[in-house]
Amino acid sequence: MTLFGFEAYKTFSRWRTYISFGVLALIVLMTEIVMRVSAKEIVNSMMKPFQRDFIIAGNIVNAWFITAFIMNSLHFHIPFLITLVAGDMVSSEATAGTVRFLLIRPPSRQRILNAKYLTALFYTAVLVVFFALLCVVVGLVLFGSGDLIMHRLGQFSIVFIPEAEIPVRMLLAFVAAVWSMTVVASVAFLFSAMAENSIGPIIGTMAVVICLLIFGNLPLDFFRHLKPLFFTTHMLLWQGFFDQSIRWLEIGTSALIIGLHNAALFLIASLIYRRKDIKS
Amino acid sequence: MKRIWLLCLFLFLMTLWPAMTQAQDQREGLRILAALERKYAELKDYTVDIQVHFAIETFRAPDLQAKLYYKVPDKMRIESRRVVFFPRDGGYFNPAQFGQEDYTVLFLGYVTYDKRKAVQLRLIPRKIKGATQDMVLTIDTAKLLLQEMLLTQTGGKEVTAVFTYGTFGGFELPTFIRLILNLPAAEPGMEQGFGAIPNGGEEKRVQGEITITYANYKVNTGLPDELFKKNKP
Repeated sequence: MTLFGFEAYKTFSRWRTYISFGVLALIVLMTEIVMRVSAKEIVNSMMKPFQRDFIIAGNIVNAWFITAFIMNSLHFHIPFLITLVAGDMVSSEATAGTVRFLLIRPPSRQRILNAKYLTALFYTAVLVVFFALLCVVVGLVLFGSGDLIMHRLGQFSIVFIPEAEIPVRMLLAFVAAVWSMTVVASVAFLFSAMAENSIGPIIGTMAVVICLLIFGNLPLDFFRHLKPLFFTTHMLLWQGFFDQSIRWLEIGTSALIIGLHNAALFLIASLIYRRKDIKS
Repeated sequence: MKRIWLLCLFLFLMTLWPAMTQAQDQREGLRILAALERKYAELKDYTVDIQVHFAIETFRAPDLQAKLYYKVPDKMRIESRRVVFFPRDGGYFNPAQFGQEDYTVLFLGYVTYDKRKAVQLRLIPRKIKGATQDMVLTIDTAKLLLQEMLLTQTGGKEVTAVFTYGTFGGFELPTFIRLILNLPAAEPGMEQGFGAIPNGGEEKRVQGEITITYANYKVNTGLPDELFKKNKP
């Protein structure tokens, strides 16, 4: 725990750690302000398939709708912000030339690595929680509360979640979002354990995420068979909380697969780091 | 010679006969529609509590409650603190909507509906305003009640509205409207992302029902026009 405390202190005392928070705040504030200004336009474009058939009364563009809308871009921008820190966790010691000082201390390499990994996960959780609070608080101030309407673009498909159920579901969705983002932190952490600088792990992690997202969406049988194995497929497990009845089995399966990815990635990182030559 | 002339006259009258019958049927259709309009001529407005129930696989919503305000000829307002999806066509009763000047009326014939004599009329809008392209009305001829309405809409949508009535303030008004939907699953021309591989030309369709229950009618209370200025249908 002491080692974790030191690592967390080191991470959160670097100004670059807060770049991610600043960027997130900018994204959320800009999105919500623009959506506030053009709320009518959003309703018209999103509800177009329904407006011809239904008269829609009530506050559709509310805090929960906006939060779910922004959460849909979670797997694009948050992974990048996570890699900025997680990809730097181990490799920064090599870049700064402190790796030898660190590893000649009594704590074993594994314990140091454990502390660094926990810090990467802690940072991920804090970032997603910050994102959640910002979305919800700013959303409630600008748009107010209401029922949550989720729909599939261009399809006659609606899920209607009553306002009373939303806070619990939103909380669960963000817990799932934290869990889904830990896999990105694990990939970045693995690359960081392998590399001597921070740029490689950041670019490498993003390359993996983007490639898997593209492969997962290609309409080819080869990739369709592999898709369930990609961690990017399971990163959207939070969406299971926004169906009429919560898709527990699907969420549980995705959470398990993400957990297995995390364990495997950390195990590989441990094996590599424990055998790493720091003398040359 | 005289016989030939008589035969010619007979044949001429025979050719006119279907047209005369058709014209008679057309007049009958218009007469029934006018009678229906006259029956509700004194209905100026109403306020009613509604409950909308969805039984559509892709439209997962709990029962929605709202208050509906109607004023002739076509003013309608839905009021609710919560979000409400209310069917635009066939969802509420508007006796003034079948004005003869707005439609070409075709008489389809007499049918037996719910063991009673009814007439079927096809109404084609002269000017298409909403999604509805044509309507087939089934009207109980003795009671002068609209029993069923089949709406054919743009994009291959079909909606059948079935009405159940009660008497309120001297008028027969719906207590229950059942909407049977048969719609395309996706908007025409909308791509479904990378996975949009043609499915052997078969179009996916959504089928289901929306039922609307009406209660606590208040008829002819003199609703002001200002009430309908926001959220006009």
